[in-house]
Amino acid sequence: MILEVSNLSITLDGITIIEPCSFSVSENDFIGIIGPNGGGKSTLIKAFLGLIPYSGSVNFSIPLSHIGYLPQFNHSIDKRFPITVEEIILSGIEGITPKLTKNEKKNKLTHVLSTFNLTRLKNNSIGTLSGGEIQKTLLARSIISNPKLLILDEPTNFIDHTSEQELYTILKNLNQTMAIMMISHDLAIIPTYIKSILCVNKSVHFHAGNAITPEVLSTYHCPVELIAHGSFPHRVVESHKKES
Amino acid sequence: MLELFSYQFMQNAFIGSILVSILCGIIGSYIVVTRKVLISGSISHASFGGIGIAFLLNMPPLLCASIFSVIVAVLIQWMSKHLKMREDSAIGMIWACGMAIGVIAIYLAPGYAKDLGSYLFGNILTLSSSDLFFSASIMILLIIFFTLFYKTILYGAFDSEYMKTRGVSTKIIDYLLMVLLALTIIASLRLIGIILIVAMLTIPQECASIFVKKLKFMIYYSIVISLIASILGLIISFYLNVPSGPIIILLLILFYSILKGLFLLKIQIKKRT
Ligand SMILES: Nc1ncnc2c1ncn2[C@@H]1O[C@H](COP(=O)(O)OP(=O)(O)OP(=O)(O)O)[C@@H](O)[C@H]1O
Ligand SMILES: [Mg+2]
Repeated sequence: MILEVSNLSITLDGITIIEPCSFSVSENDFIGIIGPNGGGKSTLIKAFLGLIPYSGSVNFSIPLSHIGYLPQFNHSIDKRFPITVEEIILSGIEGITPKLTKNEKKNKLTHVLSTFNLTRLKNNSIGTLSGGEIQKTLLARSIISNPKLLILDEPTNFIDHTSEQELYTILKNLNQTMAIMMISHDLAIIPTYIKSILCVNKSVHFHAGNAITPEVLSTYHCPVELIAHGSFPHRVVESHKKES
Repeated sequence: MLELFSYQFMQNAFIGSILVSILCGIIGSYIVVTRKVLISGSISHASFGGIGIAFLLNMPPLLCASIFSVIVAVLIQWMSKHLKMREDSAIGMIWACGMAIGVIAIYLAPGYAKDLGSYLFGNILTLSSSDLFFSASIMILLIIFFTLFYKTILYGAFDSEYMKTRGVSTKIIDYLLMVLLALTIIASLRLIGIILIVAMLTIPQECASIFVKKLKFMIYYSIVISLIASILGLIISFYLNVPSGPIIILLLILFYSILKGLFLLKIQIKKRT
């Protein structure tokens, strides 16, 4: 067991964002976290990571530094900050003990740079990158430490279709050595990559296995609707209905 | 030209400007990249309160201003984290509050506060060797602090929330940086003055930011640019017999305009070809 959550609930400014829930994450899990906009997915993982106060208990069997994290949007990143791709990625191994040697750092860096096709950009400053390139840099930052648990908040934001397929393949390989929790709005990936599902819409429901029907999702308060995505019809979680 | 150095006060002023360039070059880079320029304006103006109190109670002005501005710096950092209020409003309040305290204290103080102008705009005649000693101590502290914690400062400034998820808290470092900022401001008061110090913390950095890709180099370039401007400024202020601070600032603005102009020209030329 890597993570054990029991009776976790989150209230911000007097509003309940997440109702009490319990679930656990083991080695080699690949959990897809789905739910409508505003359902509380990002808030839930921020709570695990200690960024948001919560009540209940969250127990990790690993130190915080063995968790890799990709935040949701990279808009909040200051594009005028004087920092290079290489420096950003290296910030992902801060906090690791025992400290890595210079050579180990260099090898890890070279490896993740090539994983995300960033090698030619490594000395570029953040201000010269595109949205997708920044996203890849942050993905590289999240995995450089070889985490035991990788938490990704909508990793395919800003990412083009080819890179998206590449990313899923990379994640599938990484999953052999680490547990992954991934927030996504793309239900099409569930049968191929996801092993179990967490539906988050104020209430949290854990569904073991990846065989799931729209009917079941609906009972989890994550109703599904069909939308046109490019030329393909596409299943997504229905957007949040205002409660009257 | 050499006659300049035969005056004790000019020697002090030159040493002072080297110290101030290093101080402002380092902490100013942190200020600029974390967008805390207005906070530093607020701290420097609020330190006027400390100076007023010093006149009123007949205490050493720099000591009093140091204590006052450190309190202000910590208060601003705390307010922005804990009171749910708009940061710029908090800054504006503190800014005016410090000035108001200073003005009232000076009105109540017996006698005429004769070198008040030198605190507001800087006066090279007033740099004593104990001022230099104070600036040098702060500089050593600052250099040690940045050498030891450079990575945490860099990564925390870039993405403090992410660093928290790595188990690295930047909270204490952020507070210490604010304290060092307050002390830097006080150490630069004699040379640059309360009103103008914010320029020393931003213009050299903005000049550097035209070329640099890394925070480290922003610091180095800022120091060099400040050094050139302040030494040139001192010489000019000596011959024109005007306050040093404004001359140094105008030189910095001139440097920035030239550098930015050249940079824009370079882009234009690149576009054409
Ligand atoms: N600091 C906060 N204070 C009060 N409410 C908040 C705060 N942060 C988020 N919320 C609310 O919590 C709810 C859940 O937000 P969250 O970002 O977790 O949604 P999400 O499931 O990640 O949605 P999306 O798919 O759009 O990313 C939203 O209704 C949001 O308005
Ligand atoms: Mg979200």
